[in-house]
Amino acid sequence: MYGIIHYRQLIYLQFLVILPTALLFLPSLIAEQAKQGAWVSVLLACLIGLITAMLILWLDKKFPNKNLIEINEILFGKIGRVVAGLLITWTIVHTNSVIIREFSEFMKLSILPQTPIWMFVIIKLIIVIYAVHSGLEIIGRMADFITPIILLSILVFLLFIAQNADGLNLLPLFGTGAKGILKGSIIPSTWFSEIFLASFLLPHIKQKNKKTFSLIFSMLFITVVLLIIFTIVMAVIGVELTARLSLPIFISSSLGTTLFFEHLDIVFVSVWILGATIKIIIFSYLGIISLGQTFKMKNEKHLILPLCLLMGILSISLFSNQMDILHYIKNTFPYHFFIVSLALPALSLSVSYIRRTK
Amino acid sequence: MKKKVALIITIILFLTGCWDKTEVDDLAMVMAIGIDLTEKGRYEVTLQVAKPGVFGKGENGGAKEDAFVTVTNQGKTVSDAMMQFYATSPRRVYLGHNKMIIFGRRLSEKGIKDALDWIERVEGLRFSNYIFTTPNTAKEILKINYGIEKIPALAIQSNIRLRYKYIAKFTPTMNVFIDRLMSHNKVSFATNLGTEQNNLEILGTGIYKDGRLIQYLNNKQTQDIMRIYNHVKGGLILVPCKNNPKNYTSFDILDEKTTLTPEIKGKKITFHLNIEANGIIEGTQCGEKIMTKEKIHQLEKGVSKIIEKRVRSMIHFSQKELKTDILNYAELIKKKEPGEWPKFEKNWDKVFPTIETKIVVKSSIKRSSWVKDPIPNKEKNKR
Repeated sequence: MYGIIHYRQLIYLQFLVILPTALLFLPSLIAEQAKQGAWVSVLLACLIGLITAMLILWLDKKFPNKNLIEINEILFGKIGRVVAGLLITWTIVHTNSVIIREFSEFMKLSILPQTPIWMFVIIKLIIVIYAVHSGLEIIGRMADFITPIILLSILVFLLFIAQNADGLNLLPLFGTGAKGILKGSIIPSTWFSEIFLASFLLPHIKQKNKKTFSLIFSMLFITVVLLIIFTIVMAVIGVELTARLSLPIFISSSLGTTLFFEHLDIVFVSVWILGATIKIIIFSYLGIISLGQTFKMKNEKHLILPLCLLMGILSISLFSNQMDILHYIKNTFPYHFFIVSLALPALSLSVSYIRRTK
Repeated sequence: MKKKVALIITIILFLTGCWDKTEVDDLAMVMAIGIDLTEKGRYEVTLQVAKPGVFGKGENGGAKEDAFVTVTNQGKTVSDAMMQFYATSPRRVYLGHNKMIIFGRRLSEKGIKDALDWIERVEGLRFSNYIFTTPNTAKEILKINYGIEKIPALAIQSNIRLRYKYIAKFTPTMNVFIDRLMSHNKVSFATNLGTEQNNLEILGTGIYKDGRLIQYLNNKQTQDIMRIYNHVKGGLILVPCKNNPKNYTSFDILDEKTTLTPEIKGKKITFHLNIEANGIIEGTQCGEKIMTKEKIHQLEKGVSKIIEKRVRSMIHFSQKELKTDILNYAELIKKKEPGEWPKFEKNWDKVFPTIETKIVVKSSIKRSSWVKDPIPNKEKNKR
């Protein structure tokens, strides 16, 4: 299950944890609130992400090679470990179910409308079970292989649609003003604070001195990539339309037509599936690891099947329709997620200073 | 052994294929959709469907046969009419390759928003579709065989793309059309398709206000309005000669750039419209040398004057006759002067006709093509 990964793989893994689902509903949800000021919202969200990364790095410095659950055991004892462990596990498992559902929903909406949802879920989970069985090293190598493909195709996709871009669509630069921008930054902050998962990956990194660099770099890298994508998409289809569409980036990908190439949206989908697969794999892997840590299991492999089943069932039964998902992402998800990603590390850190534990 | 069994089971599981497997020869490829309103207020949908069998035949492939069929159905809503196709078609109606959507006149005048909602939602239809309007019914337009291409929709698409390159980017794709409808002035344009002696013809532009057709523009006016939107890529300007106004020098625009900036002083709005046009001389009938400094300068001035006159009349038409902000002024103020916009938002309809536009046109003749001067007029010299 465990293994050693290169720091480059850590960067890739962080990149793939955040990017894929950020390309679905996110731009529309930001544009709804912040209008043209979406880029400021993304920058603000990046700030939250950096704060999360700092907290995790700080904790890692204080408790070298310990993850969030082990740190809580040192601070609060057995109860602390179980409570924090269950909280983290539940958040990861629940979020992963949402991701699987988003993935299936996207597939159904975009290219396979007749196929039932559970088919996507099952196929995805089969891959997940296999990958998690193989361990962290294999997942890292998968990321190594897939990230360049994704980056390259994003570049091509942007080049194709950029010909339709109209700079006027990006004015006025700050949209509806500070209130909208702040509101619009809450939802992307959730995505960026997913970087707290690095707490579980940092102990397994080979180059111990590159920890800070890899976290900060991956954060900035993701921000730049997302900013470029969002800006170009908004310039191409306009902010009002971005806010109205369910899947703005997918829709805009079909606009990249030249005389020879048309209908590039299918390419976008197939590349996107690669990224989403890794994202789901990482989340499942970390969910299983953290549950194993919570109860100090010697062999977490026994947890793979039941937990994957749970996530599959949850992903189908949590929401009844697309509106439900959007409502959840908008109103519940951020606050739910911040408890674990921001509040928990901050609490651990402050308690460790108060109690002067070493 | 265990692994082999697992492998076989997995393979069997996936060999059956998905629910969504589609074979190309099970599809009816829709190339164009026309939406009309009948006199009784029912939606009438016409589809232009490609006939794949005809494609394969060579030059000597038997009798001449259209490579497409048009089918029509009616219903209470657009999807109701579409449902009739699903019920009767031997193949799956597939909209993924659709190139364009045409709105008939009666529907356009009554309002296209309901139809547009279906277009946005329907499965498979891409946002890269071109939007057209027509003074006839869409059904008529879709039945015409264009001749040079086997499928009329493809012919129109190629024509539009050529125009994008050489004339103006004036046919909107779906996303542009809808985005304009959502702007403050709610004005959107669709290219106007007509028929002439069983042939397709581009007549100009139909202007939609809040989803309703309010006005047609001819091709020349279309060029002018697109000039204001900075979408013009080329075009011909005829400058009358000094010695004989019935003869012309042709000026071919190669590239053009327009900038439109609002300037607000108190309650007065002034728009500055700067046009820069570069081009070449494509022939002169004046019969005199043109490659002198003064002559070139004179010609440039003449071109600028004509462009200015045409743009000014367009602005006048929008402000005084149509009294509708088809120039996108509201959006420009909103975008470029967001602080000032709330002052004008409420009584924009009253403010708009009073706005002054200052036009500066700078045109330059970059080269005179392969020859410098026209063939000298001998008779004239004798005198």
